[in-house]
Amino acid sequence: MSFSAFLFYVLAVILLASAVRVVSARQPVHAALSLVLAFFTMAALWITLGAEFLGLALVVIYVGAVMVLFLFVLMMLDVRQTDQSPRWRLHLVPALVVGAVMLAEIVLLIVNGTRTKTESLETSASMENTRELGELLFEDYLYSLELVAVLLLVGMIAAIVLTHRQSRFAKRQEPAEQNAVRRDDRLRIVSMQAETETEDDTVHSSEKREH
Amino acid sequence: MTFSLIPLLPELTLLAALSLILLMVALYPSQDGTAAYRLTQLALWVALLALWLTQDIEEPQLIMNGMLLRSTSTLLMQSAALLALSLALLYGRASLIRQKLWQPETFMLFLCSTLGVLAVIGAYHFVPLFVGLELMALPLYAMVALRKDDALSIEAGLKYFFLGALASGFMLYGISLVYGATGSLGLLAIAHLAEGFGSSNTLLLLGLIFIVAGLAFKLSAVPFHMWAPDVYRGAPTLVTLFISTVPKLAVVVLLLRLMSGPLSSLLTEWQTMLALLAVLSMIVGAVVAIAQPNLKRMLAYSTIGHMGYLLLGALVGNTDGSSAAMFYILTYALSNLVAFGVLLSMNETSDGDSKNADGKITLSRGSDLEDFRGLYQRSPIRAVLMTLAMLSLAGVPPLLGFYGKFAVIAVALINGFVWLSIIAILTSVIAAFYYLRVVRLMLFSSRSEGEGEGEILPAIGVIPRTVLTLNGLALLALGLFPSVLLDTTAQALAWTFGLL
Repeated sequence: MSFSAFLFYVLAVILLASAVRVVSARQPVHAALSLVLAFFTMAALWITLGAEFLGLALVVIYVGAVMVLFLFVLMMLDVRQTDQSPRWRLHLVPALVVGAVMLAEIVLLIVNGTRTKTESLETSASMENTRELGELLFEDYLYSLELVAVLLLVGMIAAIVLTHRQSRFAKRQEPAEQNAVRRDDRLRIVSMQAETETEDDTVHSSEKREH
Repeated sequence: MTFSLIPLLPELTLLAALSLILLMVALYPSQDGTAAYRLTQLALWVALLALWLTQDIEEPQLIMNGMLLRSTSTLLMQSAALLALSLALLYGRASLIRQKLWQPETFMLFLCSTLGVLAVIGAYHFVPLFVGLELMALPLYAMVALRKDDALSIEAGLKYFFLGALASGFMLYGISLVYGATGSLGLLAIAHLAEGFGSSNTLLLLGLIFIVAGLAFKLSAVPFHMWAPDVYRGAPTLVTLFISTVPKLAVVVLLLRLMSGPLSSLLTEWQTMLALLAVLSMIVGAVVAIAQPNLKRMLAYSTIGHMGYLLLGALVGNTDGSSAAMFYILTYALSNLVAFGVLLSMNETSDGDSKNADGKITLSRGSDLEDFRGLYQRSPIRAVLMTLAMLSLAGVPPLLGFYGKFAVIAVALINGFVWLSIIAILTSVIAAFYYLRVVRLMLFSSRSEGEGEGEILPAIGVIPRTVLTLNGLALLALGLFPSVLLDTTAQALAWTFGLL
């Protein structure tokens, strides 16, 4: 067994174990950490296969950004330990069916699939992966790349327009105006004739006092 | 390998204007839309100029690694899109101010969407084509929901977004199937490969079905039309005008391009599907519109019907058919601009300002059919222009719309689609009823005593009024001399040498 094959089996075992742990862990934080491990191992597998740029991108984007965000949310929300006993069985059968179908598909692909793709992988592995990707993106697909960049910008603008625009009906305080307020804005003193108390009024006011 | 950025000048102009507006908003956050509006108009005209200056008229060329086509047909349609947006913004300026949408963000979204339209019209590769479609559609979702206090607007935005996302999924799935069948994403390469397959390739056929479904959604052809009436009604009127005109230009080019080039080996399947879409659209567009009390909803069904006629021209599948379809969409866009131009000049302030302070349901006035009763007495110019637009949309002879319908039906008849042509003629007679009803309401009936008293129609500025009048007269002038536009379209297509 060559070293690369040995490495593959070690990584594959770790990957499978961590993937199982993602599903079976009782603590959501543990599940998320297992997912991080799974991503790491997957990245390592890709790098051994010669796709070093994709592997590094996986680490940078998924481990570095997405999963960290995920963990932040989990810790902030204080998610309780999931109660697994009754529901676990309920989900077991559909999960097994889906898993079996996917496994069957993969096996069928491996058995029936053409082998031409592996050859192209060998040739590309000898070239620099990152350089090839860069050439593809910035020369062949430059126009599309620029369009995608604008598309991302549009997503940002649209989100801001829809959420950040102040509503006409929103009530808010203006501290500057509050500070600048003067007595005349709030209170108006009117001079009027003094009124004398009648008997009815005195009765009413005494009743009020009792209340 | 080096690229020349000069051919990309029109797109870059719009992008530069977009970035400039973004910077302006960042530096002066509290500004209104005036500066952004002026910059947008300037950018549109500079882009138009750049389009004509950088274009080599004589022969079509593929640039940016064969991803972008510059030909006479793209030149014509891209110019039409830029011009249509410029006119729409001019007509809608006052309406935007009244609806409190006079803000830089509105114009940014318009610019983004137009950039997408230009990209789609030029795309000759599935990647920029799909990205362009998304770039065109994504700002539209936000634009429909711009009036955040209006429940109708929000509802329309959500509906449009969900259905639009679904349609994009269809389209992308179709593209992936075509890629699976041919192993290529470039339209030119697919055209070469697909010729060898004939019509027996199931994968290619499945891909075609999904692509047609996606395109039909964008065109709002029946049975993918459900979003149109609600979106037309709920969106701010200027956005409705935009949706009903500018993206349609791009999608028509896309349809004709896919049909004549890469997927032309499946012409019989195209024809079957498009014929079904065309017949259903024409019937639904003609019949259901009669029951609409609101002019915006009515125009939505009118659009659906018009897309039916357009598909009738497109499904013929030769240069004459494509030319007729392109001519049709141009006549439709020109008539639609006038109809919405008048609609934009009506009172459309939300009642929510005073009456429904909680702002839950606000029904905007000004677009119901009843608002047009006796319009001639109140504002003759609006009534006359609206009459021109309605007659043109209905296809009454001296006006431009008639020649659009005539070209499409003639081309279908010559190529042996007799039954489709008969249905088209019958439905256009039915559709004439609801167009003429608007005319009758405006010209020949008056409001009952005391109704709508004290209501003053907002004044139209001098420039919008002049341009709108010229636009309305153009319907008549081009209708009297239809060969001007008809020949331009045919010429533009003839000079593309198969590279539509």
